[in-house]
Amino acid sequence: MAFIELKDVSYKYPYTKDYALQHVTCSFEKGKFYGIIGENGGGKTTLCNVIRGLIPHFYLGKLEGDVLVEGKDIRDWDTADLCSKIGFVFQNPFTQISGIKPTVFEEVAIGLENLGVPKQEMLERVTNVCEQLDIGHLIKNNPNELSGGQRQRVAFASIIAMDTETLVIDEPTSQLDPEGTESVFNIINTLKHSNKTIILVEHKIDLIAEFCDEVLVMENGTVVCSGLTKEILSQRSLMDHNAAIPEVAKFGHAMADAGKPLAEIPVTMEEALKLVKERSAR
Amino acid sequence: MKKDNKLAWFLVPIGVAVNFIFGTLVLMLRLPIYLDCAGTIIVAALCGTWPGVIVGLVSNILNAITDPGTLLYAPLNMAFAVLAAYLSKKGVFKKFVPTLISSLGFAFIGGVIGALITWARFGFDFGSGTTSVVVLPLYAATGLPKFICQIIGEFLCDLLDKVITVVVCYFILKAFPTRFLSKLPLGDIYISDEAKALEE
Amino acid sequence: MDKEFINSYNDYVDNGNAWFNLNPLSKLCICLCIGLTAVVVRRWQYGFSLCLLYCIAALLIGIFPRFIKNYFAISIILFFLTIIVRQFSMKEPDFTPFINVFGWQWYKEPFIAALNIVSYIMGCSGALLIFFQTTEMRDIMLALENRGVTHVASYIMLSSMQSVIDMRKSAETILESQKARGIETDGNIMVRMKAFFPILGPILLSAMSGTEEKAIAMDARAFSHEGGHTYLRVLRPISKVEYALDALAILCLIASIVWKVLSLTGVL
Repeated sequence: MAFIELKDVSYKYPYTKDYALQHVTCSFEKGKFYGIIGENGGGKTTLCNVIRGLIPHFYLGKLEGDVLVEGKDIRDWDTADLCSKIGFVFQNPFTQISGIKPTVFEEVAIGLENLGVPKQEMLERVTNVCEQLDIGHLIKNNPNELSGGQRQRVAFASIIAMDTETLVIDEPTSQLDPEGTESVFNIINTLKHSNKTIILVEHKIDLIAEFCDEVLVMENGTVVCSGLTKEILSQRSLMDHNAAIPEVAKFGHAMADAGKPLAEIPVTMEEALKLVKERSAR
Repeated sequence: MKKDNKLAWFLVPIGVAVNFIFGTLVLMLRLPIYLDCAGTIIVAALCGTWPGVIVGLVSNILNAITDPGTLLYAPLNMAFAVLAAYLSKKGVFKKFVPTLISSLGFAFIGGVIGALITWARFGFDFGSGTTSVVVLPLYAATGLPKFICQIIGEFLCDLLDKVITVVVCYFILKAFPTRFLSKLPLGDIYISDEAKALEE
Repeated sequence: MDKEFINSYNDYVDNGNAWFNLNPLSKLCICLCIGLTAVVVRRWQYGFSLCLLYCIAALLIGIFPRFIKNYFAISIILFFLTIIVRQFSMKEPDFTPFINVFGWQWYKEPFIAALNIVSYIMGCSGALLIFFQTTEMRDIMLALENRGVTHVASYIMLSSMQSVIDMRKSAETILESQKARGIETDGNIMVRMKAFFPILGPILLSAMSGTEEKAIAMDARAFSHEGGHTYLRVLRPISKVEYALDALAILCLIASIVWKVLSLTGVL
């Protein structure tokens, strides 16, 4: 069953002229890894805000159509209940630190304190998450004095500690240096194997190709195409929608254009290697 | 749809920080003003009485950590918030001239309440602070009752400060993006007519 | 990972010595009551004795250097200015001549009045200064939360403190870069005034846009979840000794009020 379902959803921010989302219909199933790609201003973040319930609970404006989480209309959800269902990590590593805790360990525990998790369980969960995300060496540090990449990892930790079924991750690496980006990728890799529903907005298309089960492509507030990662990312027409396709897919198309097609268009480096090997063996 | 006032509470710490930082900045630039209630006025103007009052209170509590005596002057900062929220609802801060005139109100509160607190604190006689530079000669020259002298002195000392404070607040309130204003309890007041037209 | 550090959360919060570990609210009660006795009594002999007591207490608690520096800074101007102002503001023909400072005749009554004022203000602020210097704000807020105060209050207070630190940092950065770009921050008052406004804009706008994201981030951390909070740090429960100390402090305050009433009505 679909965990989150959008039916003909349109949305306009208050005091703006154009709709940020237009007639979006899509659904997200439990346990799958979704990627959302597309041009800047195409409505990716707005879609995240709808899924996360920030629209209509935090942002006013006009929301049309139906948004269902576990079959219940998003307007009927209490924001406090929603946050224990859907976790949310976004771009800015600086605003995701609470600023009220003097150690990373306490910072990671903040969501659990708010939810009223018993102390022993809280200690265990926080310890595990810190270990899992490789921030064990930071637990005594002041989160307000960490680098952007470290802060982003702490932000991930405090959300993952809450153990929500679904995670919405909105461009987690766009404000990080290469090193920070690498560590966040490692976290996402860990999450891939955790059986959670994950919705990831990301520009780095190779990452999408590697991790996602399904991909949605957005342009001008609409979902222009969606489906299995391999099917979507191998389409050359994606570039007409101002979305990037993986370098290896471009390579596959170039081979086809040159009259030496591979068996299929690859989307990850691994696939490409395999296909090239197969071709040369022929 | 009803506005969620959550954002107002998140603005309070920023208001407190503005009170502190503007105060520090004017010290660093050696300007002859305090500007230590600009944050209170801005938050009260955007979010209403209570958030503003809390900015004032918290600012004074934090000051009290190093100088407990300042806690006594908390009502002053809180009264500024009450006045600012009231004036904001009346649309005073939308136009420059009314804003400028409102400084008289703030200086009046500063003068009367400030003098009352100083009066009580110093055993119903003149206080010892920067205002005494004005108050003592005034008393010597005019022979008016001491308390009246204290009020006039504090009012005069406050006036220049409050004129600059309200002008700063005026420009800051003008600079807020519509998107942000639309989420604040009193933000609608400051949204431009062009933006409002888009909602129809 | 530092197991010892993690295990420290299993114990009650430990801030060092016995005074530091008093429950924040008990400590506040003690300090406030003692400080208020100075306000009630208003005699320089009592006020200054309390000041001396605070210094000894600070020495015993182990905060003397920090305490004395701060105490001195907030008292010194108050002390001299009040004495001088009183010489001007209190004038009666029958005042007793006291000392002559370079040809300026001082009188005894205004001098004593000034001492009484200064000593009570110092007597009160000294106690609170000890309280604030030996109690972390987060412990105060935690104690209040345990008494049923909403966690929003804690957030506002603690976040305000961090915002001041953050904003000061960005103000300094911007001021430095303004200087580096050749914008004058020294010179006459108009020049300095002009330097002031370009610093304000960027600081404020970045701080404001931050609040929106902060609200979203805190919301994701179940900030709006009502009821049933738990705490990683747990304060020591208030002991019988602490209740006794509180009662003693309140008794002191009551005694001072009784003394004051009796002395005002002329019984003493």
